[in-house]
Amino acid sequence: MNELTQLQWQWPWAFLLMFLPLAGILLTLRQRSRVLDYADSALHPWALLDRPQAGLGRLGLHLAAWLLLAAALAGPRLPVTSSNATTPDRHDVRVMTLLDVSDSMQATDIAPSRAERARLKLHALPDALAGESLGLAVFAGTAGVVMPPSTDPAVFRYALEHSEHLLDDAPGSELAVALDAAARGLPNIGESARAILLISDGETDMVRGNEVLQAVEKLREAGIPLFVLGLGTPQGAPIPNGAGGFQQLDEQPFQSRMDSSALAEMAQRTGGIFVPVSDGDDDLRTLVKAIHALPSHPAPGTSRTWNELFYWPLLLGLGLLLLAYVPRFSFKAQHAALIPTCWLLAHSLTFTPDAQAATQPPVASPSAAYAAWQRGDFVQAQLLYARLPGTQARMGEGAAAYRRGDFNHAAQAFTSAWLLSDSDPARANALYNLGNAELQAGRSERAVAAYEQVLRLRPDDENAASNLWLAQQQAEQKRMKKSRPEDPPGRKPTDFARYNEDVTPDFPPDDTPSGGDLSAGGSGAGQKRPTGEPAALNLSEADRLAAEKKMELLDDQPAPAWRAMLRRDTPERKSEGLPW
Amino acid sequence: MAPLTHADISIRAHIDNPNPWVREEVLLTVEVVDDRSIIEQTTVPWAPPGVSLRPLHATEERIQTAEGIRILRRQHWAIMPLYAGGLTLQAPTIDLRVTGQGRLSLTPDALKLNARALNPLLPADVPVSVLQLKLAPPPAAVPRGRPFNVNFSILGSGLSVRGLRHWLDESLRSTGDLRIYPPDIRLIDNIDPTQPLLQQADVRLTFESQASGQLTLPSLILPYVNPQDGSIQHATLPASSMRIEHPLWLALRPWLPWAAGLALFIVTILGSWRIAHPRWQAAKQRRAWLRALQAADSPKALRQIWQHIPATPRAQTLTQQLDAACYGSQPISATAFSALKARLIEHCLRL
Repeated sequence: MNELTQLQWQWPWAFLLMFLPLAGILLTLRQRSRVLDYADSALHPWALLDRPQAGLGRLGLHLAAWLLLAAALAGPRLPVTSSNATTPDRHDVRVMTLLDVSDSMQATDIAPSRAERARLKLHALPDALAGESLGLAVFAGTAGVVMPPSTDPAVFRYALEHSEHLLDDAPGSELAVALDAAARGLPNIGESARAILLISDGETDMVRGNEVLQAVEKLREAGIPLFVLGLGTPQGAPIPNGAGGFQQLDEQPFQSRMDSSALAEMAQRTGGIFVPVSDGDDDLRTLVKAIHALPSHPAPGTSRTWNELFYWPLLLGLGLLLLAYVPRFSFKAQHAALIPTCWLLAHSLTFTPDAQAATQPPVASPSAAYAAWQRGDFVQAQLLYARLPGTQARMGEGAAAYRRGDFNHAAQAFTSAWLLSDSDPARANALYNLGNAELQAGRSERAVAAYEQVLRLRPDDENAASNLWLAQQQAEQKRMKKSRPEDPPGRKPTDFARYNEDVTPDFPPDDTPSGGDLSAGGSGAGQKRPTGEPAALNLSEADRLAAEKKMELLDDQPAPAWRAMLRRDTPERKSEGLPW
Repeated sequence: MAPLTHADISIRAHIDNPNPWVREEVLLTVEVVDDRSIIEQTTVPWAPPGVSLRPLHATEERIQTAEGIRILRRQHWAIMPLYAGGLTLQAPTIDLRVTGQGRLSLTPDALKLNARALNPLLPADVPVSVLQLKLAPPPAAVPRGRPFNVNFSILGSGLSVRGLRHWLDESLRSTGDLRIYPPDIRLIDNIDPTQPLLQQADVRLTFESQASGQLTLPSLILPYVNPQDGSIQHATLPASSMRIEHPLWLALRPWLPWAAGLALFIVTILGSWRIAHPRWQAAKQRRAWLRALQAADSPKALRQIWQHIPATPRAQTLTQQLDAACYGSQPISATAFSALKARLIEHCLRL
């Protein structure tokens, strides 16, 4: 009974529907009085229906049923109370990771190096968290926010991969500037907590200073706890200078040591914790546990899940409606089908899927993928094959995608299989499948090329020969359609040879320059473009490949853009400390 | 207004391969012959259509001509045709500031390039260049649960980080026991002045094994197009194996030879002690007995010493003679005493 006191209604306005029957009754009464006023009393028995006495009971049943249906529509529900440990809710906390990219991170007292270990730890961090937003800031002689907090791990990892050399031109380790920049990257929005995760080697010269203390004090006042992952050892290690030697101070190799006590003190002052790096995931687990303890809005555990109860009034209402018509209801054999239907309805309304079974990822192995394929679960088969390396896995992935109707993905996988194959039979198989996928995707010219190559490797392949003929027909048809856009829609060519005689196809073969123009690096000289056609939409295969290559080469140079962005945000300030 | 000209400054452009494959890089060289009057030389921003550009290094050398000493400046670019077919490549315009003549713009003659078509099914990220792989020796043993790197270099031209990453990803997939992190690829240009087009991609693969035992890393296969004949070939890095061991064991292992040596030394010392010490003690005792026997001046003294010497069957007679000399009715003569003493010493020497 205590639970019923917590009963809530999702759409309380639905109770207004209760008044509809009253309005109906009022209208009926009004109509009745008008009829009574119109006719003489002697004529009343003819003017009014002779209602049986049971009509009142039926009206009551109708009213009750209506009331229950309105209550079902209002959505009665009870909040589900679940423990914090098992709740799958997202922990809505914004965490700015502050990565030290100074030269001292190249020291190798932590294998393979401090910088490399930091990259790996941050790479694994999103998987360990429970949905916290992660941002990335870097610092050396200056600092800047590379990306604001985001819940997308792929964006975080992309930024991480490109952050290592962003501050190569700013030697030093300005932690105070970095903490200020990271705090600026965490504006106070809503009630969710904020935190900074500092990943640094914590050299003494860097962490001991009035400016750092002031920055830490600012964090404490802003309520931003500082968590520190210490990447170093008290014994320290010399810093490689990139030329085979080590950084020198007073003509002696400088030994970069981690000041654990200072880092721990900084973390403690703000309410965070300091964890030295360790092999395995223990260090991350400790940090993540501490971050989980931060307040979130909404708090995980006081979940937003509800136990929906609408089916009870719905079933009762339906039952009352059924009762209202019992005198007229005669049970027949075909009505027996209603029983399992009602049972299924009730069961489906109360069914809760087993979340554990749904979230359990299957182990990727060739046998598991093949088993999924055999039972017709092509989505699962494609996912499992995609997690396996090698030619066979690509073939499996492509075949599963083909069965799903995702021909573009299938063509991509078969292309990889073809290029990775080490024997002619395997290449022929991959090319044959590639031809099928290209044909299904509507790229008949590519399909023709694929089948022709299959026949070069396997001249007796009848399937490839017949598919080649089919692909050639489609390609020809496409070419003719393109050359005669003014043809009436109903006219279908039946004799391709005859049509070829008077048609000059302008569809450019792949080995000639095409008509597309892709900005500065567009198509080559000697090209011919049909007048009046929009250039951007008339991309040929050659244009697509040229554009892909351009994008590939451009994608190799994201650093200038990142650097320019950082320079815009970060203060122009020369580091006064040691240049590492 | 016509551009200024200079009789002793000339410009020329040439490419090393006028018939490349599509997406194969060729070397464009622009040569400026300077009569030592050029103060400054800059290249006008240049973006020819249909190709991709990669600026390379510049060289400068003195040459002797009929007119005298000149300076030959060479500027190199890698040109990658993106479309098949003929292409007229307009070389870049060079802006010069010349002593006494102000500014001068020189444009070399346009070049003809005829790119050969590749297999139309080839993806754009397959390099059209012979790839060579150089593997740095991987560690023989690594600790469990700790990341380790495998480094190797890819030599070729027209490489791109994105393309290489894609083909590395095709060979590398994490398994339950082996975690594979995204490869770190760094592209370096101008690594060899004699081969300006050559690029080197330094690849760092990071693995982390969660189980002890023998680990076989996956082999890497990188497809490429051989510019000699346009065929598709593979650069392969064979699978290497290594031992995955417990971190504590791995930390202790370098000290094992020292520990074994020390243990052997101790065992040797103890063994030697156990063998040599009783013998040495026996010899020492025998010396003491001999010394005492030598010093004995009466049969009783001899017998007192004889009682400490272990009895043997052969010594029964000597014991009886000694007993007779000590407790007999006749006192033993000096000669007999000396003889008895000599026999006792001889017996003692044989122990």
